[in-house]
This record gives sequence, C-alpha cells and structure tokens, in this order.
Amino acid sequence: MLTNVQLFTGLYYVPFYQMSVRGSSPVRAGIDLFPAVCLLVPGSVVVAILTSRLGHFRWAIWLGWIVTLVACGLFTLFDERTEKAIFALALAVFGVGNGMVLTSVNVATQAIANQTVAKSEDRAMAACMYGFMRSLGMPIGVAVRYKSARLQQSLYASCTPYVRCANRSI
Amino acid sequence: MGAALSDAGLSTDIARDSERYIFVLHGMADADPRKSALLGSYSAGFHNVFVTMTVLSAAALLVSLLIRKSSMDTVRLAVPQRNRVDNEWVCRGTRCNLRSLRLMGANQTIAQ
Repeated sequence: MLTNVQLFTGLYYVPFYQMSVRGSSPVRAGIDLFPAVCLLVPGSVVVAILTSRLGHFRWAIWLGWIVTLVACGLFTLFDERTEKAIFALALAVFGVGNGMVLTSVNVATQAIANQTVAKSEDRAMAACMYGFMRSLGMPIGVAVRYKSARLQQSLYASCTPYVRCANRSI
Repeated sequence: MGAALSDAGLSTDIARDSERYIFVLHGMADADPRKSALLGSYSAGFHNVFVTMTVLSAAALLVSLLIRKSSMDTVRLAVPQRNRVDNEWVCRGTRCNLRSLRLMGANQTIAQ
C-alpha cells in the first residue's frame, strides 16, 4: 500500500509542481513525467528476472526503497532554478525505485504465503490481498493525502487568527 | 503553503484552491511581485510534500527490514513425470520383491 501511496503521490504532485512553480502547460508537465513512467516497467521486469534467477527477493525490496528514498530526497532539492536534466534524472530514479518495489513485494507476498499458509486457497487470498492493498494505495496517494497534505495543514496552522487572513486581499 | 502565503501577505484561500489558481498564476505578468511571492509559497508547500514522501520512504525501508527470509521454491501438487521414482512388485513363484523404477523419459525405464 505504501508503494502505491508513494507512486501516486509522486505522479500527482510532480506534474502539479511543474505546472505551478515552473509554469509548464499540462501537456508539457505530462511529457516531463516520461522518465518516471518509462522506467517504471523496465525496472519491474529486470527485478522480476533477477529475483527468479537468484532465488532471493529481500534485496530487491530494500534496494527499491533505498532508490525511492534517494529520488524523494532529490525532489526536496527542487526549486524554480532546477535544471530540467536534474529533474528528469530524479524522476527516472523515482520510476526505477518504484518499479523495483512493485515487483519484489509481489514476489515476497507469494513466497511468504507459500511457506507460512497451510491451505492453497489462502495463498490465492494472499495474492489477492496484495492487489487490493495496492489498489487501496492509489486513492490514498492522491485523494486522502491531498486533503490532509502538509499544504492544507500549514494553511490551517497559519490561519489561526482568522480575522488577519480574511482581511488580506489576494 | 498557507504559512508561506500568510508570511507574504497573501490570502491563504489560495492554498485551498491551489490547482485552480495555477491558471490565474499563468495569466500574471512575470514582473508582478505577487507572482514571485506566490511561486515561493507553492515551492514551500511542495517542499513539505516531498519531505513527507521522503519520510514515508524511509519508514517503508525500515519496515521492510522486518521481512523474514523465505524460500521462493514452490511446492508442486503433482509429481513431475521425468526422473520420478516408482516401485513395483516383482513376483517369482511365491516370492515377491519390491523393485524401484526410475522413469527417465516417456519410453525409458531403468531398473535399480
């Protein structure tokens, strides 16, 4: 679930950032997102091949989260003067990291269920639960985070003296 | 974002409707001092979101360290035909012995 919360927060806020702070058009913001979405699937495929060849999956989850962490760290360095190449690089790292986590968590769910769950139909339930939690992460990443985002929190924190805010004009 | 807007002397209502306000922002002149103040506020808001994402990633990484080592080997319900070891009873007169058979392929049978 956390994977998709991260992924969809990134996919929502990064174009939003492009359109507001950098003044891009909606189409341009979508094109700028290409490094993330184009490397998400190849990252998944490579990790799937490597985990099935090596027979281990935990390294992929750890490495995926480390790569995602680095990408999010790069996002925090963004400002109005950030070069487009750095922006694209950060998005590419974000896409690869999320792709790695997506596949490896799927493999981990099935491997753990295979060892710990006795009945075969419960293994299918574990795989379905993984899909459900992923789907649940999508709306949480976009909608719930938007409503409870720091944007809103900092707004209410600064709006304590309502009179002062109401008296100010745009 | 609201705090940054408040510091810049702008209405914090913009933070509530930040998506719609992008189009107002695009219509403003570059020299407009309000535009630079608004862009700074947007940057501050996004910085907080990206910091939250970073913290979330770090938390997920820490949680993932708790995953136990598990084998990826699958348990097959059906015995594969190749290299299967079967037993058969071989009887000579009244004496019967159990003989192991290894099925190497479709047509090969080697007695052990």
